Amino acid sequence: MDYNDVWQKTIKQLELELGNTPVNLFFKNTHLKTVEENGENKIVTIASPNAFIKQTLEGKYLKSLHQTLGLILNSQCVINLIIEEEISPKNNSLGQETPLFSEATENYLKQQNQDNILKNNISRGGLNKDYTFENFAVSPTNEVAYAAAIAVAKNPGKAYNPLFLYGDVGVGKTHLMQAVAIRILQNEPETKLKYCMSETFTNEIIEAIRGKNTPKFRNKYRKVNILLIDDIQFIAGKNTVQEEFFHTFNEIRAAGGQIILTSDRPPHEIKLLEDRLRSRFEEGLTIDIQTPNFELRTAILLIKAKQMQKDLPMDIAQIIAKHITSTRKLQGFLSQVYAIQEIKPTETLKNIVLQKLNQEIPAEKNLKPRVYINPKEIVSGVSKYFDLSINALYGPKRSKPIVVPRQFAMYLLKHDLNMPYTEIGMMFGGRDHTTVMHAVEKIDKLANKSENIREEISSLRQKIYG
Amino acid sequence: MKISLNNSSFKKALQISLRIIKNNPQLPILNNALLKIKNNNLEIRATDLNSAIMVNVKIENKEKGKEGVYAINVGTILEYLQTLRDGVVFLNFTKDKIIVEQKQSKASFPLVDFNDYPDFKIEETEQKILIKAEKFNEALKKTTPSVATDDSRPILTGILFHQEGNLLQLIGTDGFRLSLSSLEFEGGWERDLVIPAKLLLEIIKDIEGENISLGFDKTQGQLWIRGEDRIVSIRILQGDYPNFRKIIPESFSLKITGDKEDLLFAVKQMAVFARQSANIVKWEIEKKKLKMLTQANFSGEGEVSVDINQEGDGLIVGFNFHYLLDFFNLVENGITEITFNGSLAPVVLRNKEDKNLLHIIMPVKLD
Repeated sequence: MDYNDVWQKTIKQLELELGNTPVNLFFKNTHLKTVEENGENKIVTIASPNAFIKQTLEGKYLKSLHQTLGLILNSQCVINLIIEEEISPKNNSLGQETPLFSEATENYLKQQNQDNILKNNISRGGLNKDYTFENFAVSPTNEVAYAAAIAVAKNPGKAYNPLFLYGDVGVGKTHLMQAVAIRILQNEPETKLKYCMSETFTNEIIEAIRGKNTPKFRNKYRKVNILLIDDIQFIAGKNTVQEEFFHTFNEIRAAGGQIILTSDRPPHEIKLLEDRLRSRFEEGLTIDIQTPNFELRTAILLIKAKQMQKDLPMDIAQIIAKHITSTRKLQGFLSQVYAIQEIKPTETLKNIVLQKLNQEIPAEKNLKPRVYINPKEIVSGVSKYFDLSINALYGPKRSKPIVVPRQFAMYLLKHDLNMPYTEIGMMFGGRDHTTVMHAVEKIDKLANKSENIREEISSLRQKIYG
Repeated sequence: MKISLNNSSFKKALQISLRIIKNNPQLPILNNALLKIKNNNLEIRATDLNSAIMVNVKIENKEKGKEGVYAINVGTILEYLQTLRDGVVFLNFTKDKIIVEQKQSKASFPLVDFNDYPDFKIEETEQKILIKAEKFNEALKKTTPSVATDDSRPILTGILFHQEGNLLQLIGTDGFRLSLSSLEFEGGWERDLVIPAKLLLEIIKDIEGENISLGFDKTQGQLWIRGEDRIVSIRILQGDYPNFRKIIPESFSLKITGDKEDLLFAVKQMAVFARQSANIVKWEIEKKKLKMLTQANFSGEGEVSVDINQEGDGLIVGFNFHYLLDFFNLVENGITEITFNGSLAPVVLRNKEDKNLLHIIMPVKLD
């Protein structure tokens, strides 16, 4: 049966009976959906586009519909009204991309989100995002360590456990150790990871014991999947720390976690290290990283320059690498060279390097201030170090984030330049000399108590004078 | 039949009915409203066959117990009522006309045959939710500007009603930006529904009563809303609403915060020039400064810097200034927080004073 045909006939008949208006209103958008036999009756299902049309058909036109359909189908009819809207393909927004709702946007966002998670995990783990395998230059002096690190990153907890890297300052132990961590995070963003200096580990144990919350400390270190400890030699001779570390080490390894340690010497040369720890350190893989040779230093320079988004011609890189042997110094030297280049854009890079090398070679290592340092330089150094404006330091505000740096500045002015208290007070917006005295005393006291404050002061000095 | 009622409430009720009536001029009978008088209540009904409204007005019925149903053309009678004073008007229904009297004024309007008028009932389902009318109105107002106004994607002309935990979320988008308002409600929302935005906003405007109730009549495919003075029924939109959750970023690579007024001020300045250059305003974020600038064109060019707090690396990103203006005009004064994920990902805007609103704008690719 052609339902459409039946329905058209019905509509024509109804038009004669009811007139044009109601038929146009209520029947034109309605259609015949099915006709089913049910004994002597026919069940006719009629679909109307919405509730109001259905209600009107039910209320007003059911009788006419019943009669007309009965005639056309030549049978008794039972009429069943339903609501059914035809969805136009236009209404289906899927497949119709807009800038906001497109696969490109979704994918881009997904990628960005993964990057953000990685970045967050890297900084939460206390890692440096630049310390990746990609940024690590390899030469015969460190290729074994590099290969071992790659193996550990690929198969944490299984390849070599612990991985013990040792070598002199600036050979890239920390870089390599963190590269493993970053690679693991890239593969498994959910990995629980902890990186710290052995000093931090020590301080936290002492804090925990003092604060009577060792369980919290244990939770923090023993529940991780990857534990990285830098300069492990410093725990030697500290019995409680070694004890705690021993248990931490065992628990992590028993749970299948990876441990990576660095030191300035191999385990058997670390004096006052408990034997049980020494033997554990030697269970995994112990690798020596040699001081970088000339070629490696050149490569490191090229990588650093690239990170700073600067051009460094090969010949200049070689000149620098020839004269500067400490890897730590390479980066500092490079930043200074580019800073000078910004001030003197006309000077060639090569000249700047040569001049700078001349100054550098008999360089003074001591971080005491130069004789004629200007008090303003100290204040400006402090402001840069704490990322505050100079005016904020001089100004009247007494909120904590400003007060403490201001006190550091006063401390340095007093200790390093021996400026009179009153003069320092004048410098800081006419503050009373007792305020200055209080500030200097306070920092003195703090420095006596806390290693962190001492470190802060020395890195401040480094920044200002170094 | 004779009744009397307050002119202003009569006018208001007719105006509300007109919001539905005006949608359907091609069917003559639907240009009329149905007046049903029962006891001391006048019910004004209107429908365009997709939506319907019933507004109630209190009256004084001179002939107690008498009932009546009449159909009238709303346009003319409303125009006449607007020329009368506030206060009482008297209505006298005869066989074929309605006579309106106030003091020394008198007018009559022909009645229409109401037998042609479609029957409708609004079914209030048992399952319903309760929301505060004020909050609902505010949420609608803040969501609607993002809703599509053209019909090229009909589903986007609607507002999505979605339950998230104990909040009802209203979502509007035109495919370039998105607004998401949340509000508290009582009861449980059954399923996601898309409601025509323009109609909803009009029909709900000035609804009386502190609380309104809403429900979905599954069998009829209609959303019903009841306030103190009216009950409405709206046909929901059929079709697939885009998956908005997928484009709401979970994290960010850059966050800036700034004063809303400063930002609005800056966008307004840039709007002068952006109109002539593809509506684009360029944002350069670097070192706690947000610099906005436009490309030079025959009407000139501009740039302005706004002090901001910055968390994350700097970024250069382009916007259609209309979207920025809409957002900043919409939110309360206070601190605005904007988060980015590079220059090609949806940007999230929030206002600290306006915690219930989340706004997303898709940036424009810069050349």
